[in-house]
Amino acid sequence: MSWVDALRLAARSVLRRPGRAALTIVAVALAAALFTAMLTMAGTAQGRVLNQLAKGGPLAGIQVAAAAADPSQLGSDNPTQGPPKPIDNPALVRIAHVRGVETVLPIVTAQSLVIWPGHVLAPGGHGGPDDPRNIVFDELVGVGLTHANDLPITVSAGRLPASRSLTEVDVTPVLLARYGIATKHEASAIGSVIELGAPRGFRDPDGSPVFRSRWTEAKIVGVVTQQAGSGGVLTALPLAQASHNWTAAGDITVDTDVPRSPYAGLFVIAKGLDQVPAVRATIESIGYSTSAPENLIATVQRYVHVVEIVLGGIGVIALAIASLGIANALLAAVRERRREIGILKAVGARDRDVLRTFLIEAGVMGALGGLIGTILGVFLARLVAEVVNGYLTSQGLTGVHVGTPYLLGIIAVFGSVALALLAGTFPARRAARLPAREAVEL
Amino acid sequence: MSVYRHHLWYLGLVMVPLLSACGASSGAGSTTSTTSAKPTTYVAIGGSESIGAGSTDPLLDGWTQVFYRTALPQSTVFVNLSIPRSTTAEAITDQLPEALSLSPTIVTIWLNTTDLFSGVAPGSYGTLLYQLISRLRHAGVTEVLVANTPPLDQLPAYRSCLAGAPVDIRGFTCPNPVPSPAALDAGVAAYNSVAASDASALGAILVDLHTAGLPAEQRGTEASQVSTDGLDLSDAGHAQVARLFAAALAASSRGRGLVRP
Repeated sequence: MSWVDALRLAARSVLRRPGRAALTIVAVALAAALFTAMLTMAGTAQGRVLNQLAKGGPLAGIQVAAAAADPSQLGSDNPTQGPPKPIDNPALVRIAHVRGVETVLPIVTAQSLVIWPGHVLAPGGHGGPDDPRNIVFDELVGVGLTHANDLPITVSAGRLPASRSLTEVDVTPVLLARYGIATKHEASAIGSVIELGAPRGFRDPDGSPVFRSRWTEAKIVGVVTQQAGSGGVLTALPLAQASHNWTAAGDITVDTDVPRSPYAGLFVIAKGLDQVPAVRATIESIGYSTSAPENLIATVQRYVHVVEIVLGGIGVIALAIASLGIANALLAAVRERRREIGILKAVGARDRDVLRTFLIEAGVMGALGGLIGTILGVFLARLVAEVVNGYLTSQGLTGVHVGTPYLLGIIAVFGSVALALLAGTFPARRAARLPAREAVEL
Repeated sequence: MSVYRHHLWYLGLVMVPLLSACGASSGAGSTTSTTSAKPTTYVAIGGSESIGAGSTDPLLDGWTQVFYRTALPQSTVFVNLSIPRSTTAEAITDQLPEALSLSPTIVTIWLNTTDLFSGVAPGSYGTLLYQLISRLRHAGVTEVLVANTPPLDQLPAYRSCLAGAPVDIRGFTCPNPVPSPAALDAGVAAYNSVAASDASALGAILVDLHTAGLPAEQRGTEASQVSTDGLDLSDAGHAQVARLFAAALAASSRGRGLVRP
């Protein structure tokens, strides 16, 4: 008997009992859907958790502070920092050449007065009793925005400033909260123009300490959450550098808090998560304090992997249960088709031909169920994600992005086929071993 | 030959989208770069008036801040070098070097009242003002706006001095002797004459605060322009001065291109 004949026989058998076949396929489909949906959500959750840990930046990101490393804190995710140690261009170049480093992104911060015409600070939004009523003392955080995707920055409304812009900024929810703007209304800030004043200390002819500011206007183009620096205003590097340089040129006896380091810090991206410990150790040996959630990420990845194993196991059990349905259906088919099996053998079909027919029947049901179930599982995962996103958005958080890896889909389909074939083996062998005379007589 | 034409045709098909892509924006959030042209830089040189003395909040209501916020393009960088109670001579020493280092496009100068009450002769004042404006213009400053002296004879602080009452407002004390109103007016007129002459000679823009202040004085409403300390401008006064500087800049042929659209 050829493969085509066996396939025809299997198809005819399935179509002869459409109800039973449909139920069996549905059982496999539901199990495959459960398997696919659960592993998709597990993967999404892992991605979301790790993204939160990395604060929107790459997992292999390391923050280098303009401070000396504390020897007692080496290896800690968030060590306490030693005394200030400026990061200048030679230090930046040296760090960039450390083995295992892929990219070094400088971070420049600058003190700044912030005036938002037409907006009044909320109670508690002032810096203190001596602060003028509607002026905030905050910090600009300047980063290389051409590498924004590599930085711990998450855009929650609007967009990032143009990469070398001197007139566009983003603000953080913390700054908006000082003006009484709640998270759900943060998009209303976009389009507003704020004034930024970089202070410089000097002494007037009488020797009295005075500050004069270098003012610029900038349009708010987005709202971000960022971990690159502690300021409430995110800018392109040139704007922050101009402000920083203005302030740093002041009289140090007037403003002792002015940071003297050209760079407030660096964001270093290692070539891989496995390179992070070595890169950190080298940078710390150069003398700078570093922080990275490497231990936390490793721990979380282990736990999430356990969750994936458990969820996958549940999915496999569901598939196994569905496969029992295939076995049951085929056993019933063997009983019903004894005469047909006998006639087949009487006309010359061999045992393996009969085996092949029943295995094909099992495989077809498994494949159909697996395929339908995988597609169903993807839609189910997206449906759950929509519900979750609706909740997250209402809480002012960013949503999740669900994506089912192609490999998962392939495993689900082929896994269903494999389990179906396994389940169909016993009934198929039973049918194959049925003696022809016994089958015809009964 | 037809084969080469065929290849050229394909080359054109490839180059058009490539050239289009070169012109498109790229990167997350990148739209336009705004750093291709040097931004306008505005520097204020002056005394107490120019740091916003008398206003509710100098950084919000001072006339230089209002002028910067309302009259100049959004990309303008503004530095206020003014020092309280500065004379013109002191400004040349303490403010001019910093101003020149900033390579400003627009400079406003309001230096007269302290000189006048300090007894600086009109001739000396004119010479110093000429020196200040000249160095700025020679350094390439596009527009220099020079304020003349507003009417001072109805200033409450001056009137208190005339009445013999002691006055001490952030270092301002009554001149000794206190000039009579006629003498004060003559001094103001002399100052304004040399200021107009210097501005005209050097291509600077004269901002005529004196003429603008006369109607209020004639109506007796000049008090609304003066703060409660009797010496400095009120919020309304600072706003009025900002408008006068803006109007003067917009009226000049060079300045027209520097104002906010």
